[in-house]
Amino acid sequence: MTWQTLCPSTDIPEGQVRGFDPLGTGQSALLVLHWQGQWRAWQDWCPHWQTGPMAWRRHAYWSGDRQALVCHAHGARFDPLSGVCTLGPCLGQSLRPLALRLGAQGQIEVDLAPLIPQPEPTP
Amino acid sequence: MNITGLQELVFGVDDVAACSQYLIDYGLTPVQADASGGRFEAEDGTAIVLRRQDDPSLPAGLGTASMLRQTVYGVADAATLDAIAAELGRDRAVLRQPDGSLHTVDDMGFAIGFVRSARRPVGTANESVNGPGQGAGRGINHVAVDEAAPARPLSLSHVVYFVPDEAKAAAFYTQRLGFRETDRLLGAGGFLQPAGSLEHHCLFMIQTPPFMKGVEHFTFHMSGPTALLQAGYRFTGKGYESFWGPGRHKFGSNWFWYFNSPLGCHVEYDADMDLHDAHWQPRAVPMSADASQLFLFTRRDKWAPGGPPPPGQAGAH
Repeated sequence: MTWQTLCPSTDIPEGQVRGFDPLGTGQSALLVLHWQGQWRAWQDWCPHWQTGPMAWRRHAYWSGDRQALVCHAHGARFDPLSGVCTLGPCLGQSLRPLALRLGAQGQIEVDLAPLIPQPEPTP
Repeated sequence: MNITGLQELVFGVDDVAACSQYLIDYGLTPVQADASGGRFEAEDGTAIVLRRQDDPSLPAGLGTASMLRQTVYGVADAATLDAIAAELGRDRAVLRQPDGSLHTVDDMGFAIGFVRSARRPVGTANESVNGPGQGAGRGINHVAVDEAAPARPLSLSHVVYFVPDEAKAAAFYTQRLGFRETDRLLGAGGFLQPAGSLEHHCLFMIQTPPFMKGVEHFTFHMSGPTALLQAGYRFTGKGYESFWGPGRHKFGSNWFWYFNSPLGCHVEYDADMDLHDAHWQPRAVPMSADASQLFLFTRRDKWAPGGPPPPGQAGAH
């Protein structure tokens, strides 16, 4: 596990989603969602072409009706809480989750381990 | 069939305000734009048209996530419109509007239209370059770099579809409408050029499962690679998300830079596409990362060598 504090939970009010670039690649690697009283952290990665980012502008992941997360590469819609694609080119496939917890001070912490490249095994 | 190229693409979107701002920041000029949609023109008048997705005036959608509702081609003259109406009227309904435009569907169900081409002359000069031994590529004392250059899209270049039967889809355009295949990426699809254009392609279709059917991207021509890079650099600076590029394709030789968008597809800048006539011999290679591009770069913030300031100066650590 590689837990990292991203921001105070008050930075992401109900109904908001925000992208983060904790590895400093220049584009976001994950997004944190606060919706219907629940929190989710999803990798910023679409199962269609198995790449990201999904936003069309920084932090802009919502559909026009704000009922779905959208990959703005080809319009795939994902259920915000289950991560399942409900319409689009990766129908039935799912976003990749990251473990998220709220710390004692109300901070958002996410396990970045799945995002960190693993070293090649030595022969 | 003297079809000269794309005239406009019509989208039915779920967030008109976001899409309008996106197209303005991309560099198109809004014409008659309001909360119900609008027309967003390049320098030559070719355009993206936005409507609300529930606008009853739009052709039916594809039933997928795609928001493209119609692809409209320009043709050279009224005789071409008559020829298209006669040819396609043999096996499908072709609606002729009072303005003379034709409206129907292709063999994959994409709504298509045809109008008399109404492209305005492009006043922006193509990029010119100096090089050794060839004389001046641009005027003496003419400075190439202009940080305030408009770097605006000049003309609607091409559109790319995802289609469930690429062979059948391409045959409609080549056998019924007189398009030519200029090159082919095996396993993906063929690049199609209408008879009234020399540009490498204005339509490319990629084989995919049926539920992916829709538009993959559209793009406008820029005046050259510098305008493409300058526009893309500004676009990313406003927070828009780069998807692929900048780089240069092999087939067509066009420079590219693709971005995500709220229109349900990628939006690209392109520049310096090859021109081909009937003497051209089409090529075919298997689709791969190497086959699709000569080189690929990734944007980064401006930086310059020089190290930290000397000790004692402001900003020193």
